[in-house]
Amino acid sequence: MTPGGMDALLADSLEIGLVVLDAEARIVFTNRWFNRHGDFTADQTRGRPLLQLIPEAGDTRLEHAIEHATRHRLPSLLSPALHGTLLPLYRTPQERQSGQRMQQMIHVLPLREVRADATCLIQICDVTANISRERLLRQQSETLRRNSTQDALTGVANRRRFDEVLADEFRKARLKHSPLALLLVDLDLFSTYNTQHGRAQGDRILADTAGILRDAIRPLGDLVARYAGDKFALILPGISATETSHLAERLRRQIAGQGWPHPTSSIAPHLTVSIGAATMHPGDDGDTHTLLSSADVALYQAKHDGRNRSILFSPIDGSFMTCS
Amino acid sequence: MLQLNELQRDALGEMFNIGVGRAAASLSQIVSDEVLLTAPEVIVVRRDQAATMLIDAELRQFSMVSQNFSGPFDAQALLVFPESNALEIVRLMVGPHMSIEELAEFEQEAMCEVGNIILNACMSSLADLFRISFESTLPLHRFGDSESLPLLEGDEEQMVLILQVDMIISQQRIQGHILFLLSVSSMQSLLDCLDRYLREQGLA
Amino acid sequence: MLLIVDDSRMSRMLLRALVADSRPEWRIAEAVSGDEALAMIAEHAPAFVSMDVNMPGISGLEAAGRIRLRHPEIRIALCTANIQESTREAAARAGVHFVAKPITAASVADAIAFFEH
Repeated sequence: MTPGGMDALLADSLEIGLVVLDAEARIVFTNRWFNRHGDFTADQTRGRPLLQLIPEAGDTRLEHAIEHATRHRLPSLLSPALHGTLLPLYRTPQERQSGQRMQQMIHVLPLREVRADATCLIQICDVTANISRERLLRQQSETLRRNSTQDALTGVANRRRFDEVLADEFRKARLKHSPLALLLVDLDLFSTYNTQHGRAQGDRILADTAGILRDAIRPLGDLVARYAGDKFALILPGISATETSHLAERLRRQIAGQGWPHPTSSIAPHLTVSIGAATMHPGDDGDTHTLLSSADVALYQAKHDGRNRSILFSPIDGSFMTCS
Repeated sequence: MLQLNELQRDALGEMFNIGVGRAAASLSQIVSDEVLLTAPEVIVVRRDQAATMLIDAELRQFSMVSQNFSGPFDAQALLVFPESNALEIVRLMVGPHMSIEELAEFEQEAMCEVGNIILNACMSSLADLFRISFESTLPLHRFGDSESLPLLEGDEEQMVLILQVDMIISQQRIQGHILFLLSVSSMQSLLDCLDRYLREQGLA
Repeated sequence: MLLIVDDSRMSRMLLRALVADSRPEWRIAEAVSGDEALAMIAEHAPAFVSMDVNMPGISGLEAAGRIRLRHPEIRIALCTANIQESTREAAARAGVHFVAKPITAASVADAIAFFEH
């Protein structure tokens, strides 16, 4: 594409943005629309790596799409629903000043003719008019969503979602005649930890603990939830009492093993947890409450025995077992 | 009919898993949350058998993204979700507390992109390992019922590679299928590429 | 001894072949699931483990975590198609090395360098 030729004349008259890149993702050409809405001059753009002109596009889907077009010669589409305002393009100088970006639909295409000096075409359409109302709704609803099924601090499921999933897994386990296990993980003497280290540090510990628990579960079927302030719950379908016991003890050791200092604790110089575990074969005679209260009883026993331990309670014979 | 032997089936499955693993990383970047994608099994069936299988799998109303790839072998690639599952993906990716109507406005373009990410990743995984390249059309989204599946029209002899996909976003599990429709000669070319790869690695 | 844990036969064969090329003296055993790996390690602990993540049964991350608890001396490399940041972080937290699939001479060399470090 040569500036001054028919191609450039056409390209500069189009009401969409065009950027042509070479095999090294350097800018070969930008059309007038792109320069106007991006507030770039042709001199600024030509020959420069796109990611140097627009550093924030680095490590985004746009960068991957460019690689796909250059290396694999495959086309990509970046929808406004998922990316919206990826590039710093503005409809008017006023909107630039107020920081209100244009909503964009982006296509990243391999150029048909294989040549090293022009391999990839980025095409940008302004779709602000189509979606600004929905976009607003989306941003509002995003906040709502995180509040409604996810715990905002730790990112794991919240209590509401826990209740739903427990009821659901209970029903499935009953139909499949398979066992269902529940773990309650409680941070020992956490209120004194918070008092001593401050709330912000306490929050970090909660988030890290949630991360450890989440990494320990199987991604299919299991669930970690923040059950109450410093208490987490794990729903584990299909695992036996022995496996539950192993997992509980492993988690207890792993969390204590982080060595988070807790000098005022009477149990250990570091933060510890107590874990109550229960398993049952959901039959006609029990409900989710039986399982929950069994795990709760086990947790109570673990605390009663001096904390920093994991105990499994069997609702069938009413026995306690120290996990190992 | 062409059949995969055990090693071919395993190898293709592993290659597609590398592809969907990359796709999951892209999706996870978009939603800033962990996304798990696995394609546990590959099967090859005749076109008409595929239609029966999917319809039996309660894919009565579906949401589908397609891309046509051409190169050493040609394939029409489809990502097919039951309509309710597709809406669930969009809900998880875009914002789940919108009304169904509002979500539906986003569904086509969002699913187009999700399909684009997954299908490109699958094909580029094959392209990398086989050291070949493809051209492709842009993704196209379509709603439909089992009657309008492209499986029901066209050449009797066509073959279909089916992958079941498991997608987990925000601890929610969503299932769908990836289909590759190939002519017998394209399927043969794919198997030739695969056998060449296995030989180069000293595995066959 | 190296224990290769992967549900894909091709991946096990590839790994075995590439490792045997550069370290012909190593003994190599194979397991097709995390559960089988745990059972084998209970019998006889290897020096190194290469572990896939997405497998039927317990996940490779969970299996790696369990191995680390009982046998902290075993060096474990996660060899996985799951290349997300969260998996890399989880690997780092569990104290295991991360290797992205596909299995190539380069990725195997990386794993061997970690094992022998």
